Amino acid sequence: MDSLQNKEVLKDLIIAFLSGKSTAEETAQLKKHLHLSRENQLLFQEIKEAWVSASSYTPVSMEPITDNAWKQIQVSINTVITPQPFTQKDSGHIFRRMIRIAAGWAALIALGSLSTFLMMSQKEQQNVASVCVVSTPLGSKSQITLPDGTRVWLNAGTTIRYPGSFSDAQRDLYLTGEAFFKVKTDKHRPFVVHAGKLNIKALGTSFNVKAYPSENKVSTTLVEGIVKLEDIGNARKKFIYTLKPNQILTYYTSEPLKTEKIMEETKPTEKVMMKVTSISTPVVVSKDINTTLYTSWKDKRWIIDGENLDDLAVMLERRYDMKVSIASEELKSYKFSGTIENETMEQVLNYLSLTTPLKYEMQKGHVTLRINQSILDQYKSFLKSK
Amino acid sequence: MLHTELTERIKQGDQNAFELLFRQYHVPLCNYALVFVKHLDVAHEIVQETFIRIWEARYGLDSGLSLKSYLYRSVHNNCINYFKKARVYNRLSEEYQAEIQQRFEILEHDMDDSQFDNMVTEELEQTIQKSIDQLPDHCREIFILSRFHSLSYQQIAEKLSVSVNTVKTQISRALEKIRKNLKII
Repeated sequence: MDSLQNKEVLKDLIIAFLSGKSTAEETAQLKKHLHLSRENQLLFQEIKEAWVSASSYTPVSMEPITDNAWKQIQVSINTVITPQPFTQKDSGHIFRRMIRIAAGWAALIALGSLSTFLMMSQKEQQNVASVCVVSTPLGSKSQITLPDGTRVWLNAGTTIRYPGSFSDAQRDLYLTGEAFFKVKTDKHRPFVVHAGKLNIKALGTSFNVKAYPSENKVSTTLVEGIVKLEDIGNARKKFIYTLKPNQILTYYTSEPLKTEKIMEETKPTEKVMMKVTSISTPVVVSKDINTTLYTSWKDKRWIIDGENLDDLAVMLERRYDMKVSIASEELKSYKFSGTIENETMEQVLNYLSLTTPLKYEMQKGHVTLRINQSILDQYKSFLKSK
Repeated sequence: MLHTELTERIKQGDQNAFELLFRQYHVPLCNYALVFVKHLDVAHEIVQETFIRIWEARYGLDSGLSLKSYLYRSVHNNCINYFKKARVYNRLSEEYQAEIQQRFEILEHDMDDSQFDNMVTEELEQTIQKSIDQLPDHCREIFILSRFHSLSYQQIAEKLSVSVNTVKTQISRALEKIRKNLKII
């Protein structure tokens, strides 16, 4: 065999090896060639460098794979973090990871099954001094039981953090998003939800806290029992309020809101304005409210009562993991009421377009709502003729 | 965004910044791992693991270091660890492990730490991009199917209705082109 031909054979071997297609025999052969001469080694290094370097190229055909992988990562990093293995020294490490990756898939395939998994893993891990993080992605809800027996319902796009075992003094939980709590009674250990700068302290109660960071406000709805609210952020102008059943307190966390704006927020008959704090933290308390309206998101029947389309759009975005934009300004103040059960986004949009002069376009998870001028004109002429 | 800024944001727990990093390097890192582990699903698993660990240890990230070479180095080490662990827990078949062992021996022969810095320069990235983009369509398609989607010669030949020999020749041609361009820098 002359050297030129030899070189071609070697090249083929190298490529087969690098692309993972070589047989064990061919790999052994390649190894032998490399030991044979420095020249062969250099050729191998060169081709290897070209092959490995090519990894920086990203073909378009890989995009969906990256999308999927990111969704998995998202679920994994937001699921459970525990620094301790179960029992065995290292196997727990791998096992836990496998569970987490499995959890990622489970959540993607059947979002509902996430909560079951979390409850299982918590039972195993509750004695461990660690932090648990539970998240629900957009478009899904979940329900879990904490180590103390407190039950928590998580709305879409919500994260809670809490210690694997609560301290003796107090049960702390950190919330972003919206959750409903049914707190297990324990007189000696108050249950404290930290939402932004607001602490919501409870002994044994049921209440709802809505604290999406994008909204700059924390709304607490009390169903039963008593909760005490405290702002820890401002020592000089400390805010404390005790909430009674059937009351909702909305606490604005940043951006001073104008008084008129606040007045609009609630129905006139139920409103009590409070001026206990500085202007930068306005507070609105409404009494004798129907708490079901604020907590029904966790049940099968989701009740909407007089919501502005503007606010409703945000809720729909979270519930269905879609982007909703309102193209016509005048639509934003339209109010809606109704009950949603298992309807799809499209069905809900159809209801909306039946009751108001709006039309919608749906494209790749993005919904655009605009005014339906012809129907609006019909409405107007109908009203005029009356 | 500058990498130092990206690192800072990730350290502060910004998941959007982390997503940016992930989207930029997910495919390159999978492709890199593929050379060592041979199977695409194994490569994917290792890269996922690497990103999860980086997120978990984000507070310890060094803004002064190049994130890129850190990522490549981590994936490289995690490939090695993956097989160490697999051996302990007997998760993979013996033949596969033996084969991987051999691959590492061959691939890591006279390799040193500086390779991570060299392989990821902007200039090199651009050269690769240009070299692959400039390949004739047919050649590029075959190369991508082999290099990035890890299809066998046979699978590619069937998919594109060409002979196995054509597939081999085109891959070799693509590599030749990349090698030539790399030599210039």
